[in-house]
Amino acid sequence: MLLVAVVHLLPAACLHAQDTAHVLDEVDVLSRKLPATGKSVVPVQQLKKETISNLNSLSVADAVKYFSGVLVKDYGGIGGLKTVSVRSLGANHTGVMYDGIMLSDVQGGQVDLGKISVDNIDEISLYNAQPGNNLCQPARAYAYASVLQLKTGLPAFKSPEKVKLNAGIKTGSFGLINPSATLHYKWSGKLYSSLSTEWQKIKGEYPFTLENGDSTKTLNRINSNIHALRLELDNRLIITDSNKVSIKAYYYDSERGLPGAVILYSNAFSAQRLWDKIFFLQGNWQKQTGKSHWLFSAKYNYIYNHYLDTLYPNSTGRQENVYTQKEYYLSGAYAYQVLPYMQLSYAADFIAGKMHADLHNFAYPVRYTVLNAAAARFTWPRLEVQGSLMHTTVNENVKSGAEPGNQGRLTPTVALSWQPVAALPLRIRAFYKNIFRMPTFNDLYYTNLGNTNLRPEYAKQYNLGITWQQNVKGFVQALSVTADAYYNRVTDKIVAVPRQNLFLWTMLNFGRVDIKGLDAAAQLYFAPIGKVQLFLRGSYTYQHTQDLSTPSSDSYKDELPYTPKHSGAVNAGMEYKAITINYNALFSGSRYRLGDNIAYNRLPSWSTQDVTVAYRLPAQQYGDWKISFELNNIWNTQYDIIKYYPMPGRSFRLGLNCKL
Amino acid sequence: MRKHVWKWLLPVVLLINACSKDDDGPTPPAVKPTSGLFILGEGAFGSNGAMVTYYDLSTSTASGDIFKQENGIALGDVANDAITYGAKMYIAVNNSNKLVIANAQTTKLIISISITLPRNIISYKGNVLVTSWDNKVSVIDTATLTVTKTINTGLNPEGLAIQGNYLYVANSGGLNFPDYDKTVSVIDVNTWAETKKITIGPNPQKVGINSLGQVLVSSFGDYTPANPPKIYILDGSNNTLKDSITTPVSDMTVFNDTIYAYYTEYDENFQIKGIHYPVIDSKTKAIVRNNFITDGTVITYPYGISVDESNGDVYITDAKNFINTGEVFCFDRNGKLKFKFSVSPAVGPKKVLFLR
Repeated sequence: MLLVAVVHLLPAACLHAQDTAHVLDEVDVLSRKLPATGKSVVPVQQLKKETISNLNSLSVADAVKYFSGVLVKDYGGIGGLKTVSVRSLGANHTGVMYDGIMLSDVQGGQVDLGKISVDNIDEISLYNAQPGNNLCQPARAYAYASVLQLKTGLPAFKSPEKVKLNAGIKTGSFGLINPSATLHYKWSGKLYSSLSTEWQKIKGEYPFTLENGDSTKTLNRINSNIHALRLELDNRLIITDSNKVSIKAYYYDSERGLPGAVILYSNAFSAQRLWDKIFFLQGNWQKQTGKSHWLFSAKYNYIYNHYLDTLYPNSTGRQENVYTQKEYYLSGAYAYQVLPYMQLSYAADFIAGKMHADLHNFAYPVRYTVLNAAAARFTWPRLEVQGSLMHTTVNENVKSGAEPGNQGRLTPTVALSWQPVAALPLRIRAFYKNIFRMPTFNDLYYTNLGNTNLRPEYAKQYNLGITWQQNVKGFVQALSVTADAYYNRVTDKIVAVPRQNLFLWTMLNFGRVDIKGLDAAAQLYFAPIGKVQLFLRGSYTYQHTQDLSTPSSDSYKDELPYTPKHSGAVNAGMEYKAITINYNALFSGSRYRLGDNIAYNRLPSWSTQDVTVAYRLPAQQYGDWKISFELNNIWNTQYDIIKYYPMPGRSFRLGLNCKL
Repeated sequence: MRKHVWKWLLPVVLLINACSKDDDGPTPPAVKPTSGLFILGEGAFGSNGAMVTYYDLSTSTASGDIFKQENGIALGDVANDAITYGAKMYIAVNNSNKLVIANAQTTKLIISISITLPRNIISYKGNVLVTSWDNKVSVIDTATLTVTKTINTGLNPEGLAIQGNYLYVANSGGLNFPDYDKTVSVIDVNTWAETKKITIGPNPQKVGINSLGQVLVSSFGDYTPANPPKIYILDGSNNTLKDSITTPVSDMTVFNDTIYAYYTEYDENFQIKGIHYPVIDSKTKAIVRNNFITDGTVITYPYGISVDESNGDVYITDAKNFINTGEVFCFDRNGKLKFKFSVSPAVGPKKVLFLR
């Protein structure tokens, strides 16, 4: 998860392995600086490699904090769980696509973005509803309330070049050592391989301030060390721009301590350890001929988790569990340009997922999912309308215990983008989406918790927004402003409720939540002042959530836990010759740690500010070298995102990166 | 940080009619009327939200988190049990690994003793006895406030009681699912040595005594039809299992030979089928009343039951959903609601202590 500051000046075609020519058309309309997202029928936010490298981010979780509408549940430290909730729908409603194919975790349903390095990521895009730029995509892309797309890419090879190397090392506070290297090899004009590897070791012990009423103590976070290895091999066969095959093998292996919540007075420390192994092999082939566009995808996914607590007070003095899950995935998609303004598509996906756990009387579930999605898209110069209909069939088999009923569900999405006045770069966009998430295997089968009677949890979304993207003359050269108001309703929300005694909980379709919000973002590009180039980007989120689960409850109509009404991010950049300086700030308003919105549960607002300075050594024959220095949390702000999971204070990182 | 609202609600003078008692003597038999209540709130696991709420019976006002008001620091994480004995209050703060000892009338902290995962507390002849999940009972001398003895028990001991010359400890093995402990440790109070283990049903929890010299032990069972929850009756004269009461209970307290209990019943879809408040004569096993509550009062999630010895009032705490602040319901001996109050901001109210 090295923060390698690499600026690949790539031809757009290489970057957009999954995109159609459509996106390239959009780019031409605007200044090349402006994001190609203003015409999208659904809200989309994007970070390109050069921006990501300036956001002081090791993992994708750090980077997406700069998107509006996104709350990252961060349990602190480097190895702590980091999940993303988009528009307060909860982590299970966001799909994460890695090079065009969905990552999956059938056990918990949430992808830990803290485990995904930004080191070799070229582009991070967050789509509300579903990726709206392309009809030819797997049916699974339609199956979530929002989709986070991560893309890796190829650098540009100058004609005689065969090898491209991008290597770097990071070190810094908390005992960080993080070397990484990506080697790109051009076998021929059509076949490319990329081997990306990264190793990360962090001691992770950082000081934090523990407030306890009138007393304040400085303590050290312990058992938060991690070491992780990532190996990634990509093979890309680019026969033509419209006929490409790519195959990826991915391996991640880590061991980490789980420091747990900070417990007052206790001298005992957490002895919980977690070993993770993730392996997947995926490939896709996309072909475009005339009016037809095909995309075939396949994936094998394997996840291994080993949990150990050597201070658990049972008869053996330890709790140890091994969980494994496997998924087989096949997808075919076809899109056809029926008329110049009309495209139709159909996609079918098959997913088989199964799980093993050494739990008492475990069910050993196998889930077969078939997704069928039909979509239509109508494009006129100033109006675009998209609609899709998704059918989901879920069939589940278990070895022991009760079997949940089979599911068959039909869910629609409609979206449009309209430019009311041809002379104005203003577009109005709107979407409606109704989608659900299936109960996870933990929800259904976890010992003394799971409930096989669970129904899917539904999320209904309504969105109305505007975009304004313009190149202007004057000090501000280009600007992009977006604002989207939305209303979401979650029904049959799956929550844990206690049963009989506190050792026995059950998952129930209990909750109903209303979410009203506003996402706003702006990007400004300024004319150079002498040799100084400036850049400013900001995002703001307003959210008002209401728990409507139980009218008689004290928390009825109260805000959801850990959901600030106001939050935002700013990132400003300056380039002067070989020096780049970036300033990043995050802000979160006050919020409640529990659903009961009483003063005791209110957590104070916080903000953090980071600075990065990078210096590019003058070009020389031994490659392009860059040194970077990051100062994170400059004012040593002591804050928790999740109460009693303290976040790190001031820290630094020093990086060296080389491109050959 | 914003000032918390309840700070302003704290009465300036907490206890006007409070009397002090000698530490080392047993409580006098005549029970004085209750002037106020202390309610122990467990707090959610990992939230450091253990609290004591004070409720003044003469003004009907509740003061939240008075331990923090009095001491400037929080009580800790997950407070499972508390008693008052003499002039002191003893609080088992489970996940903070502490037995907190405080002034019984003001909750002013006196000292905290390290005990690993303490659970339940009783008093006996100038000592307090504390079960802890590391398979022990600790004996604490209330004069010196030090641990004078630790006694090994079965797995994850919970409730405990003394009948005659023996201490009875319910060994739950509650953290050993599915292989729960099924025994009660019998410990000689003169030597503090375990003399035997009596096997009952899985996951023993609460221990009470009656005037027949019997020991009553509730068991959760193992959530299978073969081993449902039950109350086991031990004969204190020969320390054997004598009988059982098949009425399932989640929690119970024994007062004047009568068992007051509650039990939440679920259907196969995990929906609440009914909440029962059985009243049982422990001497005859006869169910006195199927439902203690006679006025239709609804409690969301009963989580603790205590009886005021001075007047027989029954207090049932409501933990709601363990997220929202809880409530305390006071019923007269006939099961009619006398009053109720919120323990805001405390979560998971459990034990009620009576200030006299």
